[in-house]
Amino acid sequence: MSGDPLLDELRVRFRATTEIRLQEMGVLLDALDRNAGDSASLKKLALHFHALSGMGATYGYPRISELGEEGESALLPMAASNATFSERGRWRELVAAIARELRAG
Amino acid sequence: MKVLVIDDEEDVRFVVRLSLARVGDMTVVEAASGAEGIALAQSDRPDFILLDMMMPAMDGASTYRALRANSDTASIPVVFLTAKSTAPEVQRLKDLGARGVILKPFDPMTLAADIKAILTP
Repeated sequence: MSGDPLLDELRVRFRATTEIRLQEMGVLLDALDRNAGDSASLKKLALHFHALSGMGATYGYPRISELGEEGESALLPMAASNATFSERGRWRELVAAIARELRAG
Repeated sequence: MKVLVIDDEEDVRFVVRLSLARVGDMTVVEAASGAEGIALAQSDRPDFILLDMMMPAMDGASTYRALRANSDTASIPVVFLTAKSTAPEVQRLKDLGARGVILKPFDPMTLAADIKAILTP
């Protein structure tokens, strides 16, 4: 806990919404495993990473901002491409790392 | 002071709402899309608008142009909220006519002061 009531409230809220977001990201990655060229899933996944990049540090999780930025930077240029096995693996690693940061904090 | 926050992300609206209301003692009105924001800007006449750049459907730049094209909302100061922090991008937003730019991630404890500094001539 930060000791500031506002920051503590924000962190509680962020943990709850991000757990839901991470579940949705897992579903999107599963969809990409079934169809690597699923552009709608790629776009949604990029938006999730974008949101985490923009908000992680604001809510007191700077490492989540860094991990989110890595995911967003990798995904945004490839809206019409097929995600390779190794790319999807890296995105799963990022999602897992974000989950660890969230639960450690 | 009344602010209209236009951002598709609920997490962003939540932190802005708490930050500006509690720390900045502002009244916060929220819109989850550019179209909703334009309607609220007309009906609620906020003192300024905090506008996200990257939104699905109608993005920040399109929303800004629509606000400026409407005589009811054309004079409301707009501060952009963006995660793109490169100097050329910030300058591009200022060139559009925005009063200022707040970069994500931001500090919720200083957001109100940062915005007041932008809005103070």
